[in-house]
Amino acid sequence: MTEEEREPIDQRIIRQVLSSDPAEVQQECDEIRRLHAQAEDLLKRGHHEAKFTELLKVL
Amino acid sequence: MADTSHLVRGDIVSGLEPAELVEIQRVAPFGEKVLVEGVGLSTRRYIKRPLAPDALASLTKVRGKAFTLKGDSSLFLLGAEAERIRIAHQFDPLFAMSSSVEDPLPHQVEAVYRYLLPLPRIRFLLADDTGAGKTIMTGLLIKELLSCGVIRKILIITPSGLTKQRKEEELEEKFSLHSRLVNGASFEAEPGQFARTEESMFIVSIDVLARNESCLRAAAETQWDLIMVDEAHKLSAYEYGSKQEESERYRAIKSLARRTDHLLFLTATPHRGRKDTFRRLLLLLDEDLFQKDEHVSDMVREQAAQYGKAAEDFEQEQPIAKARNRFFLRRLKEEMVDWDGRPLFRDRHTRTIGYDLTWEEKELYDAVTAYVRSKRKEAKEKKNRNVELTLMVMQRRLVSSLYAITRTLHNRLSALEQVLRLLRDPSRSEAEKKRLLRVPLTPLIRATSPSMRI
Repeated sequence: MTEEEREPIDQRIIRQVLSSDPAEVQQECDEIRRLHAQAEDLLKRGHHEAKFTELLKVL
Repeated sequence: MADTSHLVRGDIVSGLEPAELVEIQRVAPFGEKVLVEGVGLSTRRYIKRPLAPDALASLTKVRGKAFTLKGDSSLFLLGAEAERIRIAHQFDPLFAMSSSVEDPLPHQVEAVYRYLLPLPRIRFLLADDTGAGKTIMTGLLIKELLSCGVIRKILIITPSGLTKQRKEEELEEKFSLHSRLVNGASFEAEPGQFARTEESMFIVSIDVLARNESCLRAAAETQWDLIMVDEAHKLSAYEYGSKQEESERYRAIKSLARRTDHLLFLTATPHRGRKDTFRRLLLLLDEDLFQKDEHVSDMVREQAAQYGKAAEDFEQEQPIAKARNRFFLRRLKEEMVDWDGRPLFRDRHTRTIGYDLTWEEKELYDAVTAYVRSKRKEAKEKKNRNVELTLMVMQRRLVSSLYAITRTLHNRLSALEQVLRLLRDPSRSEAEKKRLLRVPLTPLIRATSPSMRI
């Protein structure tokens, strides 16, 4: 799939939840917010991933 | 009475008989008209016409009885050259190659001249590996068929966004083949353009055909000589027991398949792991031969033998792996060589290389994996496959790259915030909230590639 085709599908997949209880969804939301902050922090610091360092060695 | 002095026995005229020149035998008065008698130069049929003065005046004398050598020699040379080009294919079996700027490679010549051109009716799946130059092969094929006069009306169907490239770079520059680009706007401006006789080759995107009903109807009402479909793997149809599902693109081509003599599919990924989808694709090429798997199997084995190949099996991806038969052809990069026999592509070597995550990456990996595991367990208990799918996607993004997982987490966060707003919306009933949250994913999962299917 192209990025263009993938995007709307991702949007629909990503909305799936296990509960319709707002408290439980809020709890999951907080957990995701924490994970996102952790990932974004690394990204913003320009973290160089070990995977790509290894890949460059091969290339 | 009309003046007949300009016509004498032995003159050759045009305009007396629609399809041929006529040699005048006799011109005589016939009441108010003039009786013109002559013999058709091609058919040698005797023609006798009483002509009114205006009709007589409209006859064009192509050549007088008396020959002179005072004509324009450049026009004679031009005519001779035109005739030479017109019949050149009879003397040069590789005419399209000789008259194109493109210098084709051996496997391209083999596909066109060994597999495609000998077929009385080309209904074929050309499934060579990516980079084989399938568009060059089709350019050669079209040029060869056009110069032989076998085809005239051609429809080229490409994915959206590739139509202009196909027209300008591939057909015009390389093969001097002129075509007309049809899109939604140009079709609305001239709905009858497929019927135009002054143009014979049209390029249209598959999505314009699939989504613009009037455009598809106009194309289906036209009798084509050749229809070529690029990226044909996008024509998907599935069988679920006795139920069948066809995509819009598949339905569009299905309605055109009977309206053409020759039908050529191009794809580098013909078999995506589903036997039913592959057979449905072949069914568009020939609805009799490919009705049942066992028939296909027998037919393919029989045809493969003609090309000196071992019997091909119709199991899994076998029918298309290195296939050479009357219905489809697939050559892999490793088999392709230049005219000196040197490989065109460098060998591919696959090896797995291990690496250690940095401690920061490991921390993020563990945190996301712990979340995915706990939620997946919960999803399994609640038998919610949709959420399981969401989590699998997340895990894949995690191992893909830092950017990918950051973006996925961002999207998930936005989505959960939307869900929360919906759940806390006092203006909606509980039933409505449940309905809005329950989005069926099955069609989406089917639409994804096999690697996405979980």
